[in-house]
Amino acid sequence: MIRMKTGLAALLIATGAQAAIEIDSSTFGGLTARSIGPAVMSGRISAIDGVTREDGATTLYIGAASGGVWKSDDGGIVYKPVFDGHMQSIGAVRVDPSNDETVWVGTGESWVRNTVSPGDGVYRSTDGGKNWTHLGLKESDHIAELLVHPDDSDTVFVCALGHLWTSGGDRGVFRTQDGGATWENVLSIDEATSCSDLAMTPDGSTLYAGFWQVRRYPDFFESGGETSGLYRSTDGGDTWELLTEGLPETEKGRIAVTVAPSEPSRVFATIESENTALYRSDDGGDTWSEMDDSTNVQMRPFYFGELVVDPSDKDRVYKPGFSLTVSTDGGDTFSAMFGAGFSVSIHPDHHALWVNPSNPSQVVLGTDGGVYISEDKGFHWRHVANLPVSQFYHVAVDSDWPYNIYGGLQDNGSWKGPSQAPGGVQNRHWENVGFGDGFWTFPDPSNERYLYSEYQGGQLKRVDTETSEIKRIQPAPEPGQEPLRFNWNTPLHMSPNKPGTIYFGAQYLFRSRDRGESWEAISPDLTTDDPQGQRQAESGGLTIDNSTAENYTTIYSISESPLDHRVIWVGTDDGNVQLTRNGGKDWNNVVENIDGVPAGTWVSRVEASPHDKSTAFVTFDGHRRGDMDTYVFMTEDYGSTWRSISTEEINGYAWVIKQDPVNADLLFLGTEEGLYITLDQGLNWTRFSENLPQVAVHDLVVHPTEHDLVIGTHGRGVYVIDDITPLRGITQEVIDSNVAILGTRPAPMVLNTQLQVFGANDSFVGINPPQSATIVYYLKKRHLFGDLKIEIFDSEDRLITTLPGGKRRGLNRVEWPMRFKAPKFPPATNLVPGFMGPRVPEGEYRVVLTKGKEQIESSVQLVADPRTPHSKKDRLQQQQLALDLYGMINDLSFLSDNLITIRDQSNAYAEASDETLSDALTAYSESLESLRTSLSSSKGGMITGEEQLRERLGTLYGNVTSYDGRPTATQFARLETLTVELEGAMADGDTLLGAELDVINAQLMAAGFEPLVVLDRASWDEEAGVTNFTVAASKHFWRHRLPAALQDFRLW
Amino acid sequence: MKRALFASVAMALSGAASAASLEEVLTCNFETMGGLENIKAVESARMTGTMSMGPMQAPFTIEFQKPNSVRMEFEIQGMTAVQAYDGENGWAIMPFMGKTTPEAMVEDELKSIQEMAEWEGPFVDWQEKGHSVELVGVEDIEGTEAHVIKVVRAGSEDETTYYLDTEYCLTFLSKGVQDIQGNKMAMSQSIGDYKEVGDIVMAHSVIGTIGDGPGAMQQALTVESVELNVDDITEARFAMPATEEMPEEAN
Repeated sequence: MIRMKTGLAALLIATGAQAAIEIDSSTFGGLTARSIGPAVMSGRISAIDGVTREDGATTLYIGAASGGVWKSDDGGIVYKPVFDGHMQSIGAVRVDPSNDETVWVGTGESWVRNTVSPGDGVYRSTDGGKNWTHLGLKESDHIAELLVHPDDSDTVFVCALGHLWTSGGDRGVFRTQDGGATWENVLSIDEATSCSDLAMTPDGSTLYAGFWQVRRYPDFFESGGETSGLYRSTDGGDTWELLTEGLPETEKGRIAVTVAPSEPSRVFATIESENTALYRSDDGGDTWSEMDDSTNVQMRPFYFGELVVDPSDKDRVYKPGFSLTVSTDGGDTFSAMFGAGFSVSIHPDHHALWVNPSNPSQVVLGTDGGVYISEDKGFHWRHVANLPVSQFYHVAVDSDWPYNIYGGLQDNGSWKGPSQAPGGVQNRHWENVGFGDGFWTFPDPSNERYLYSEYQGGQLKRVDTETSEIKRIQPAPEPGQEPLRFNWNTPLHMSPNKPGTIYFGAQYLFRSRDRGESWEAISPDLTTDDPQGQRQAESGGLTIDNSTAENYTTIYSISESPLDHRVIWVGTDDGNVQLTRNGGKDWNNVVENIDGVPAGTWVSRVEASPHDKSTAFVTFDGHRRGDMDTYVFMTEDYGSTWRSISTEEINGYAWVIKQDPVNADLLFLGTEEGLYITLDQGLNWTRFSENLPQVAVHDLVVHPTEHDLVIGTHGRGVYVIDDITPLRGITQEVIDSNVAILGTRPAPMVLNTQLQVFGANDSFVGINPPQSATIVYYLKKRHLFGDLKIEIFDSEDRLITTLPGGKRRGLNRVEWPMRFKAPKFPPATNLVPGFMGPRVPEGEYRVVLTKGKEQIESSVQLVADPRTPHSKKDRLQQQQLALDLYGMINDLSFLSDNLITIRDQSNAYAEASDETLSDALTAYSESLESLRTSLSSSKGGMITGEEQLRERLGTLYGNVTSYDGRPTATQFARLETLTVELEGAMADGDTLLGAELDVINAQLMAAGFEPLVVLDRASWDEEAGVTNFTVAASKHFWRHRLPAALQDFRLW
Repeated sequence: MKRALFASVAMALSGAASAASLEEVLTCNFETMGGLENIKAVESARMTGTMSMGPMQAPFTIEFQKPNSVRMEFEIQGMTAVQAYDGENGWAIMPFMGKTTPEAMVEDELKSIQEMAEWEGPFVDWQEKGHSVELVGVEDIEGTEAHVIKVVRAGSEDETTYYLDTEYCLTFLSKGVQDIQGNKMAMSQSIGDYKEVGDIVMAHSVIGTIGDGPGAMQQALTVESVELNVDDITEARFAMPATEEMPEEAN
């Protein structure tokens, strides 16, 4: 493979003016990405293995095509990703038959469609997937099978394809006999022939290997050739022989092979040839017979090369394909497509299948739409709805609040889902808005009721989301014009300047000013128009496979300058970077001005700057020619000169670049190996890995008003980094400081919702952004000594709350729920709905961060939920009523605590007094207790239904605080009723703790005792955490009325 | 403390972090925390502070008594929950659903509180206690270089990993598992805000996370005051009370 890096020195010279900001992977610290799935459609599964443990439960390992390895320890209910720090394209997963805790992974999927991702060799875990060690074969790129010897954990065989897009690499069968320390290429044919499948007899003595001549080009796929063949070794892989007896003599393509575990002399193979068919040998491979050659067996051999025999039934053969077809007669016949799998509405395109050897009725199937589990040998299926391995090509957002995310996925159509939802973003929140393979999907900027989506090869649609009607709107050639060439992933672009104007790219750039009703070509052929690159009709090799996947010499990326609708950039799959500055009248191919990228390299993205119309970015992706380098360039003069902004820190070929619309120095880059961020226009890049796996990032959007970064991954669904405002504030000065607070967006006070949804563990729930204001700060080093706390003050400088701060190096994100402390309730035996304090009013709050002896300040802004149907006046009425009740509950608690303390003091004296005084004290104590228990529940037991003033106040408080609008008239009336009740209780308290207490104290002092002492309200407030409000003087000597104090929060 | 800091800084400056032995790392840890002698001189302690879980906050008190007694109280809506262990028996009062009598802890809970009762941590006298303690190397944890120490407590099969910064040898993170109905659930604690209390240095902030992935729950304990060698902490605080001895406020 070609691996080139632009010299760092040259880069520094070229960008001398830019001030560097030194960041590393810890800089972003606690700024994490959150996954919102979706898992409803899941994604392509390429490998499955499982084991029944000693305790009888089943462990499953699922290898996703581009979404890593997932482990279930409970037979397929809950899955956890166990391979996030490595290449996410998985070819094979195998549990060591001798040790359940040892797991091998061969990276690089072997179902080598046009969009397949490469791997980087073999990994092993010896602790059930917790830790992984890379064990070589780095250039194997795609691994079709990996087998561990049944009796020797150190002996492992790998069936490797090697490089797909060039010749060479680690190809053929590799064997290790020392647990992966060293590898031996025990069978190889030539630089162009790969191992396509490997099988072993249950005793490990005999091996069968399918060899396949295969090669991909950007514009062509070639399966088959003279060097393909089926091989056997009967000496543990030392020597191999080509098997021919009864097999096709003509050229062969992909070969799958498997051994019947219950009768090892029976071997099955599917062999792609002029007449692709299943073959069977009953003598260990010496001789073969042609069996079934029905449609399902013949379909797309390069894509469906899996074959599994039931472990206990040598005649039951599973052939995953377009649908799952099964033979029950040893391969003579297979169930028909329309009679079997096709009639069941599970996702087509099946690639992996595992039959539980301990229970052959249990079958686990991997499809383009995730995992299905059957308990009746594949007759009925349950979909695994919590594997978010969806493969997005592109993402877009709308202007709703919360905003929606749109995107198209490999073999899973186009979808729309919310960025947050009550209870989290769940499968049921996603709405399908397009079929086929989905790509660019946009809400119509002129009317978001409509959206545009497409499927492969330029099939463009406009969808009415209210009626679900679809209108086909793709451009067509003019009379006499050559056919239009649309890429597999045809670029669609919304004009950022003119809602309703859209662009679509064939070899010409098309523009529609009427939402796709009509089109005009505004360019000549912008590609090389090289006829050598237009062979898609012959693509496929032995089996023609003209799915538009190899459509070439097409436009691949379009970007209109947000600052000038006449400035339009276009990138083509054959390496042209075209620019018009007059709305398409004249075009200039500026790729000649770019040094450092091989001619003809696929342009994966052109991106016009939102800051300057002469500035643009371009990424190139050479992986389809075996060039895995990262190419990222920037121009500031309409493409006359370019500088590379790629550095050694970046891994993976580039898919997308985005410039932050606010801070021109902040760039986001998506590559095959993750998300990268620079704060200095490319001088320093670092990978963002906080909860974001090493997954291919195909698209990025910075939401224009919410300031979130939406990440479209090809293999792990959509991730969101909430509020990137702090990133915009990181300067070298911040990096050099011990501690610094960074700005955040205004925090919406999200409307309360109360839904009763009982879930289970088998469904995906994407986490919501925090329903809090966030305070973000940077720490140069992990904080160890002294306080690290956040204090929030209101505009009157009253302390509202104190929050514990995160301590890690880099950014820390602390959440403030935007509430006062919860009210202090009197002791009782029932919980009431008042766990949270009332919401604070909207507005600005001062933030003081204390780190040891240092203090720094900032502020946060709280705003209403953008959706709120409640007027400000109504919201304030709710807050006021909540605060009134808050104060009343605190007053009641103070009364209750006073009754308790005087009661206990009385009881103590009663024991030490003479009979007369003792009786008086006891009677007094009983009257105190009688009042107290009349105010708060005191019955034991779970559901007593007992309701005293405490419970009545708490219930009203809970009801009022759970709704953000104007309280009901009934609630206002209820307040009045309870106020009278509380006043009555207070009056009783005044009597008991006033006049009656005076009498008792007089008696006590007469007897030589100290008087009983009531609680001091100020001290009590402080202990209860309600001391921050200015408490007005009260007529009652023993209490202050808190509601009076809270009048200060009245804002109108 | 200052002397201890110099010692640990010197150790870091000498570039010895990756080559340090377990004994060196633990000595450095004890020194930073005030010296083994002072740590061992603490017979009892009471810590009060605030527990936060999302928008909910609750005041808490934790009391320790040597060798291995602990009592934790927290208050919600005027009701006080108690969890305690007296070195043999664990018990709890959870009054929120109307039950105000103590209940004996089940094994899962007992295991957690037994760990908590080891108030000076697993490193002090670990050989005598029968723990297995192993220094496995130096790792970068969230951008901080850390000594990694794996501990298997006496009588347990579960491993807890402690991460000590290489500059001061203070534990800033621990990762382990919690038993729940026979299953293991991941648990981690981010530890910090070390402050001098008397002759020793103590963490004043623990942010605990139970579970991993989207369903993880986080709970922060912030210590606001600490008393050491407290006279009114007696054995009676930790023993499971008979029902009739229940404090009256609780009912």
